[in-house]
Amino acid sequence: MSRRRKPASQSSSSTSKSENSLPDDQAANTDEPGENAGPGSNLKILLSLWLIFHLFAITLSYTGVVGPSETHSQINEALQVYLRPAHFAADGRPIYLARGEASEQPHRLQTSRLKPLADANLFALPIDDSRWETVAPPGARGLGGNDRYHRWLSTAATLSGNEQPSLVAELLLPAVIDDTEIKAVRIVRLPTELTTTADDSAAPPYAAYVARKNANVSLVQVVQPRLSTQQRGDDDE
Amino acid sequence: MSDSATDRSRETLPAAIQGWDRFWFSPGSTRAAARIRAGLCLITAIYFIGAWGDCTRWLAGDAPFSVNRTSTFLQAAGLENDARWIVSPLFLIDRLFGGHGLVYRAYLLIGIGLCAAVAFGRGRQMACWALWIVFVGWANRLMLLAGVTEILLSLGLFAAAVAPPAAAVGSERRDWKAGFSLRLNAVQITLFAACTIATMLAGSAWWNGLAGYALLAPIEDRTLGIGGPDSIFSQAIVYDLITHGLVIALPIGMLLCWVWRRSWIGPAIVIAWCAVVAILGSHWLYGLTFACLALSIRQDD
Repeated sequence: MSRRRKPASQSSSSTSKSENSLPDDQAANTDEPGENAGPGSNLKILLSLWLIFHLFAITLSYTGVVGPSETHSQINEALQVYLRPAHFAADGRPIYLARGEASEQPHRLQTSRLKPLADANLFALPIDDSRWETVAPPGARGLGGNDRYHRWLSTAATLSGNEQPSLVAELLLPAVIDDTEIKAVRIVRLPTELTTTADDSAAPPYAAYVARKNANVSLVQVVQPRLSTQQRGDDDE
Repeated sequence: MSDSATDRSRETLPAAIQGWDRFWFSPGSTRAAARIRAGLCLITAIYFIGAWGDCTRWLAGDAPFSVNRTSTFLQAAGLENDARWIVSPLFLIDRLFGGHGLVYRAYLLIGIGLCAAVAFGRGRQMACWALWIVFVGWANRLMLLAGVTEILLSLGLFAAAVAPPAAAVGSERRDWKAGFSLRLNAVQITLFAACTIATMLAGSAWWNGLAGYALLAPIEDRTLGIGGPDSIFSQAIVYDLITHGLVIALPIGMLLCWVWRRSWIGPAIVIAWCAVVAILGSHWLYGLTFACLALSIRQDD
């Protein structure tokens, strides 16, 4: 300790304010020209307080992406005024990389120009059915454009799963509004090595007709017929 | 209080406070800080170039995330309150210039120009902060379309902006702001890694071995043509080992980065972790940013 303090006490009589806290090798260099050794004590206190707050805030935000408690959520909410303008907030983004959930599957937007398309055909599989055209993601795979396409459609699919068809329509309408030939639209999830046959044969998470009246365009979601109802209908026949 | 009195009072501070003081406010190498910042500038430039092709598809005119549609969407979803702190100059610029695609491309060009200027130590401190503000403006404008990479880049560019401007291959100088910048990046990425591991382990896929496979799974969105039913990755022992390896390697790598701060062992493990994540999950920019920030833990002198 005495070795560490020696250069500090020498420099304290001149201009430097904080060399006494430096390691040996760094403190020994503080007389070199052009070196900015440290901030003043008031600035140090301010920066220290900010550091504690900042590190606490980002930690709370990133740990909050998996089922936070009510208190955790409330504190997180209060911290948004700091985190969001700086884009430090996790906001539920998957920092855990992968979970094997359906929302991680590749999503594709498909459009159909055929008319009339029966309700059942909106859910027709396979995905590469000739009645449907797939809107390809932009850019190289694994880079930004591809990721943005995925987030657009997985958000829409999640909203559809939460029974929010008007919000899904807000997200999808721009993709079909200008092409008057498009009669129907749907979001499909592509199979992966992780999905089972049952997963792959599940209905698309969203399907809708494009309704056009004068200048107004809207999406009319079609809910998939329940399998049990379908079965009874077959039996009746 | 005189300087000598201040020094005396500081000498009586508890060891923990002295350690805090020494850790955060001792001078660091401007060249080391400039190297990290140049790496982040390169990644940010790649990010902006990647956004060039599809920015109009999402943001301009009547696109799904144009200002008008975003506003309508947030109103319909009742999210106006949540979104009020997501600020970006692009919202204002869009209103002024009518959401034209050229506006967004001009913004990206400014971002790319700033990346080049900051990487070469040009434009003074203001350019460093301007780059962070331009990037945050872009990420906030994307809103729902922004992912994890944007968070890492924002954290990294923010901390990097603190360091005095310098070229990555320029002359060596020691400055407390360079040290503060490096340590802020080092602590931020360590916390981020800790949260990554904690949240990974909150899901069963990282315990039952399937997460490595899940990371690889989306065939159509994969950059490299690895995987498939006949590949080595479809064997249980391979994806189990990848999953457990990823869970174990990150904390060990980060720990070694801190314990042996002059050694390359820790950074090598973290870089290998980033490479595996990037290759399997096609998270290229995420992997590059994570690795670049992890290098800031290395002893800089």
